[in-house]
Amino acid sequence: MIPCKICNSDNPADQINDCLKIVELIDKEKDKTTLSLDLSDIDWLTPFSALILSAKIVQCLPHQKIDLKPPKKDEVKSYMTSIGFPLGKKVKGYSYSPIYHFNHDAGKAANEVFELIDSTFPDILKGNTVKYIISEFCDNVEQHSAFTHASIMAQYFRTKNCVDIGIIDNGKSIPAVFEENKIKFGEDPEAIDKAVHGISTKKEGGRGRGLNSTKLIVEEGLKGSFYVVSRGGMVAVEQGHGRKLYKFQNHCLSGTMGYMRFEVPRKEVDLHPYLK
Amino acid sequence: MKKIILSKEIGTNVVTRTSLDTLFSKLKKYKSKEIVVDFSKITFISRSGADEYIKLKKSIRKNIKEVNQSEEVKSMFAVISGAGSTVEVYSQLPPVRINTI
Repeated sequence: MIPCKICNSDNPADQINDCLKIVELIDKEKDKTTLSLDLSDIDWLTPFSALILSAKIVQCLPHQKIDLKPPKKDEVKSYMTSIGFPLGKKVKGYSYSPIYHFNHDAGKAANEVFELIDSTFPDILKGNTVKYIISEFCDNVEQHSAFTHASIMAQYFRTKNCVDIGIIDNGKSIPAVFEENKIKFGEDPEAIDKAVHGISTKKEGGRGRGLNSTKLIVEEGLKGSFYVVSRGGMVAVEQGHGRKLYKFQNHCLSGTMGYMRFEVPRKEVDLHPYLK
Repeated sequence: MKKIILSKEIGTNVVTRTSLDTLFSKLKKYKSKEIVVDFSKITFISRSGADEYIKLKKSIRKNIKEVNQSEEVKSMFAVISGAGSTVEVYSQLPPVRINTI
């Protein structure tokens, strides 16, 4: 049974590093008929940790049975139930599941999440801002990654009055696509940093804006935090902390994850200043 | 003249470039040179969607006219039409140290 230990650190990079370690352990057991995960020692599961683990578990499902030892802590168990972890299926008591898994047609997946937003998010977020963020991430997955599995999460937390949005794919990472296109960079976090700031592998005009505009909307418009993890690196843009680059020394993500968190704004954010 | 109801072809939200590739492949096959694309019921078009629509419209030899666009949809097309060819801001950023975990 794979022990799932995720630190209770304030730094998302530490938790992501722990999740990547668990993902690697899962990969090592891919030949076993049953994938057994011990979640009992998880004290706190952040939405992005749930997204990484859920995406990985679902990829194992066609070949393996899944055996999960539930968390000891009631809060963690309750959170997992509320999101339908790991399958993302609609669960009893919840009209919509915040996790949606897909293996093709990112547009359809985005539309499923739009329905969830229209049903569960505050009115102020039912306009185009959140839909823009999700559509740009979905388009990036479809255009760049050659993925075979992807997962989206969008959740409104009523008590904290905040929103988490994440999308993860198992396709080509940003550093790998940069290497293919001979775009120079030093280490993986630098490739991600370049992608986030408008350097695109697609040469036509109009390209390279999706990730950059999304980052600007989250950072400046919604005053939120924005993270992109890809292969061995991560770029974090957090309120009050600026932009930080991280290199995972011992683990890496096969693919890319974009993640953001923001409080519900008092008035609707106008997208247009961030698109020009 | 051929009229297309866009929402019937790709739904009420135009999200990805791929959905428009499929639509324009279909438009290319029409014998009619004059095509009207009806945007009624389209509530959202992404930046990528608007960008791809403009590119594909230029690439096919047909006269395509859009009707019934909402203000939101019109404004996204206006943003795309007014945008420059590049948004690269990386070179202007201060370098930051890479933290190892």
